[in-house]
Amino acid sequence: MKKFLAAILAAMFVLANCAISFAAPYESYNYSYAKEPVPEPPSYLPAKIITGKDLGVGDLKEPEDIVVSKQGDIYIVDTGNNRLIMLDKDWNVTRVVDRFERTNKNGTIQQDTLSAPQGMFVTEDGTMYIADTGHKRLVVLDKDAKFIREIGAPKSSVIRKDFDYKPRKVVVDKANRIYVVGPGMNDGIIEFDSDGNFVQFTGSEKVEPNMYYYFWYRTFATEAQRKQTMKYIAKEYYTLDIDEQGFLYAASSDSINRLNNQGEDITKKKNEQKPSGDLKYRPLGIQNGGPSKFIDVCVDEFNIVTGLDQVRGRIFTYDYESNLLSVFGKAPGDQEGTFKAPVAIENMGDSLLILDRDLKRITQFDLTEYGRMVRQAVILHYNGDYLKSASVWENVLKLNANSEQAYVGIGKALLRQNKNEEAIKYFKLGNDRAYYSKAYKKYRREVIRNIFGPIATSIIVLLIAWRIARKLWDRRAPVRKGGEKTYVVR
Amino acid sequence: MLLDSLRYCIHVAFHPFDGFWDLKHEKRGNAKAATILVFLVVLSRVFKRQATGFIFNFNDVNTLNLGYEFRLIAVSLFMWVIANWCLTTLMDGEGSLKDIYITTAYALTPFILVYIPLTIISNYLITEEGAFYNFFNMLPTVWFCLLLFIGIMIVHQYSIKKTVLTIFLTLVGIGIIIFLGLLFVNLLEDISNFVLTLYQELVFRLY
Repeated sequence: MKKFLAAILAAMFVLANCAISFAAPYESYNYSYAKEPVPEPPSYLPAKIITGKDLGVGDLKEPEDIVVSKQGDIYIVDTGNNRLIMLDKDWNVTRVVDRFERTNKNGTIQQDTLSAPQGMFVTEDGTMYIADTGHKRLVVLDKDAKFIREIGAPKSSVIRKDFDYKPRKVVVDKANRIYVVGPGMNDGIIEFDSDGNFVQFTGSEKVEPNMYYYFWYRTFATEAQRKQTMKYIAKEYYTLDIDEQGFLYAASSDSINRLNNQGEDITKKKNEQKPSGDLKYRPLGIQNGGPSKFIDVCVDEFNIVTGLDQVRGRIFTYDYESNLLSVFGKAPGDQEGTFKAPVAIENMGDSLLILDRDLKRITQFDLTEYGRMVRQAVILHYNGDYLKSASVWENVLKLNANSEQAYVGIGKALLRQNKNEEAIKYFKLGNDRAYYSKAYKKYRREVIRNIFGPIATSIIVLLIAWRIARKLWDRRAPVRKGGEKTYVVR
Repeated sequence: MLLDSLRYCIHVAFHPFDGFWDLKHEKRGNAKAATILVFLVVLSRVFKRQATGFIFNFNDVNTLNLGYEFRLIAVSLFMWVIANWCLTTLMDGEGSLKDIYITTAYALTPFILVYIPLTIISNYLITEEGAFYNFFNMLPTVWFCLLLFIGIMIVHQYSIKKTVLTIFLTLVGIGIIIFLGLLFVNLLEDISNFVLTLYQELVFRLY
């Protein structure tokens, strides 16, 4: 009886510890090669919630953006209150920017304010570029919030007459070129040079004449229909971020694209697919249905891109080869760690900060043990250290046997060590046909090299033996023995 | 007799003009053998789907549906044979239903001949050798079309122009069969719905 009770208690204790997976208010999954969702341990869990009241600046009102500088300083764009809140890395408020002074050409000092700013960017030296959406301009302030200059709407002959300039997100590269996107601006990303003059629209879709379109629109379509098609050719980018090398990560309606400074699309595709969030979803029209729509992206120093999907409130993390590392998040929801209207995402170290416009708060998500291991393995792989990366992937597999990326990672390390036969098994588990072929090629060569010698020798020996046997058989002489012919070898 | 008929399919595949003629007039072919050939084609297709080397196999091995694979071949064959027979009867063809069935089934042999060795070899190929794999993948389809064309020509004793016309009209005929079938199913659905609703009404009113 005592043993039985002890067994029951032990079982309860073990089962209670399985509650780790229930700590997350959302489900975590990944997509297999067959594009099926497969559950996996969460990579991020909610760690902290910060509201305006916690910071001591009063409630935030419809905040639209949050930015973390390289030094770790945090900037919150409090759109509804027309102000900017500057914080240090310990969430202490250093300054609240809601007005600034500017000197006019004739020497007078003028007070100026922001009007519904929706985005901003901070360069390495602390210079702030604010997308002052209400005033249709960019305001440039230095690190002490002193006015440097403003950049107005772009003026050029290539801009159409009804162009409504509403800057929403801005990034600045190391050469101080400024890139702006905003709603309704579907000619591409606006590029300004470092003096604030309009240069061009980058990243716009190259329109290739299609026989079908040509025929249809020339002969059948009316004027009004032709005007409508302009919308289908245009490409609207919702949000931007920039990485260390100066590549732009722009989210359009179907995916996150990586653009170089010529505006060319150099996104790496995984299985012919660009990072586009959910691969399976309920059809458009149903609540929370339709493909993922990235309202914000952020990229860290290892080219790991994280996108915030507005449709279902999920956060997708991709590595530099566009492998999906993790999915988490939920909207709408009531618990800590869920959102109502998530609008912005930013990296803070290896944690993620997500700004919720309607709940007026910032949720900080920290890496779990599983997430930490995956990140470490990806970073080691990014730095070229395949062997160390493989040993971390082995630990990942202990927690998640479905991780195809882990199998491929280990396979790559085995391939480098010329352990071809094992590498083949791992690549098959990881569903990577390209690397499987590479490993198989080497393995095949190895096997043939080993068996060629013995087989060739045995073939020659058999041939010679056959020839000798035939000659002996042909040369047999008839020997008579009581009327019957028998044969003896001469 | 059965085994000879089966072995004859290889002769037909490589010597179609001679083969199809003998199939009909010298009774070298057999309806039972034809049915066995159809089963073998289904088997080779399934074998190819499951056992192709990993590099070339994009199918999910766990989702094999034998019924689906069998129906795919059997229903297509059935529709073709019926449509062809209906048409050629009206267009002075000399082939009977049995002849057409045997001819079409024997024309399917390239699939068995090529798919089985191809699947075995694909396990030992690499991506760069994919060109060979793709060629042999496409070969039986082209071969089959040729054999079918020659078969129809010989069985009904048509000229080339008439064969082309017949094949085109047969495809149209298959379309009509599918359309009629769908219509019929729809009608049955409506009738059964009617009867069920009637029953429901009675049950609810009488209680």
